[in-house]
Amino acid sequence: MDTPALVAASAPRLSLWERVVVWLRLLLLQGSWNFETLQGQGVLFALWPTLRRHCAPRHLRKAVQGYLGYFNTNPFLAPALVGALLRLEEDRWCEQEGMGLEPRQFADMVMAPYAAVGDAFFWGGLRPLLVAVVLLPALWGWIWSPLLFVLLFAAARLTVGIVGFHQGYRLGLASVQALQRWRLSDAAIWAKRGTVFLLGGVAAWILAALVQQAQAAHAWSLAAFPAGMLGAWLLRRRWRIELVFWLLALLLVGAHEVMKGR
Amino acid sequence: MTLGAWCLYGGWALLCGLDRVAVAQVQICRPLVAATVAGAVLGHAATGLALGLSLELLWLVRLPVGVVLPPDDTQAAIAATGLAVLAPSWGLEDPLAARAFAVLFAAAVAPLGEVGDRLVRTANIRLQRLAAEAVQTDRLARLSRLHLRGVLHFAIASLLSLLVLWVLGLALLIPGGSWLQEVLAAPAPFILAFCPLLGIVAIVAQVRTIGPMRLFLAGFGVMYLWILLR
Repeated sequence: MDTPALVAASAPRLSLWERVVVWLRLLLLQGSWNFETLQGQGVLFALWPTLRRHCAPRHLRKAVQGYLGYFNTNPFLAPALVGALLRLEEDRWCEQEGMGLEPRQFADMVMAPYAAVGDAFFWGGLRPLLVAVVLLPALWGWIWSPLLFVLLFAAARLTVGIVGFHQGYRLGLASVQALQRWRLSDAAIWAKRGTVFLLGGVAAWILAALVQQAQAAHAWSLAAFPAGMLGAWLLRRRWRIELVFWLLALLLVGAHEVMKGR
Repeated sequence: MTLGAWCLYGGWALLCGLDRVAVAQVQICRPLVAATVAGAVLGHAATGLALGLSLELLWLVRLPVGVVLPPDDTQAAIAATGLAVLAPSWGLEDPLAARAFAVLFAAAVAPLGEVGDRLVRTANIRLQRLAAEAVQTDRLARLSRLHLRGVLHFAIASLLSLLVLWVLGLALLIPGGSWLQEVLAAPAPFILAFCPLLGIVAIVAQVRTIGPMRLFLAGFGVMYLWILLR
């Protein structure tokens, strides 16, 4: 059962339009990404219109300074975090006591865990899975497969962004627990499994197409296996993938030149 | 190809460059998408799709997390598509050989994009300092403009990156087109196939889940069986 302190304090006080503006500005979160404060200016850019409008003039400079420092989280889960920040700011403007936690302290506490969960799900799980899903139709020559990829990824990105932001703003601190219930870490593991399975199918299709394409050179197709093993061995030894690719290509060209010479 | 088509091509490169980091990140910057649309704009969607397919998996495991900068596969894929489309003008007439050249070129130059990315992010540190100054001097209205200047930096870097890649590509293609045709014509199908296969090897090697090899072989087996029975 939720403790009373973790239950949302009251109904929303910012207008829907004000919240939409913050959410839209979050699409530019990484607009001035830099090596010192990473997304620091981006969060301030998103919050600025509401801070300027609602923060008491005597507190505005301090509030702005608070957001000017280091900030780094996953860009797709950032709306969930910023929604909660907005609620905490709002409580501060109305001089309501939350859990005695300043908005900036809250951000410092949760941005790294949100980054870990979001990166694992979106970059490590969902994106490779969707790529694997659209690769097979693309291999069959379906020209719209890239569009399908963008639509699927954008749908996931926008849904998580909109629902997360709404939930963050509605629940404030309690939104952290709500986000845990999404089980994004588990979803990332399942996505990785699905990716590996689908990529097995993609590899089979590419090899079969290669054999068909180079009918006169079946022996060449067999070279794909030792080449793959060599590639895997070099990658395990931390060679850059583009170097491994170039090495394999040079071996192929060299072998072909030798055979042509005979 | 008309001037309008090349302007659209440049505009698409700009949009994709912004999507990589600065704006929205809906993944139009992935090589599969970026190359296919670039090819379609130039009237060769199939070439773009084939190149996007080959390049898509190569750097998929290089995640843009924290201060890690993955190679700029976006501008590399867009430049490679343009070069593959124009390759017949300089003696590289075999379409597969042209694609093989484009893939090898993209693989070689994508890491150069890290330099541009690093320069932009270093330049943006200055914006951060200007923002701190603006707060100190109570000129808070400047903050949003400074942030938007960062977006402009990313936009300029994307176009400059594309320009550099084109200069490098043409420097190889104009004098060496006929020679590339001779060298790449036969091994081209293998080069084009090895690129995604190597990407798959890298992804499977990196996945730390239960039995990745078993899952991979299961997927491989199901597809191979389906191909055989077709």
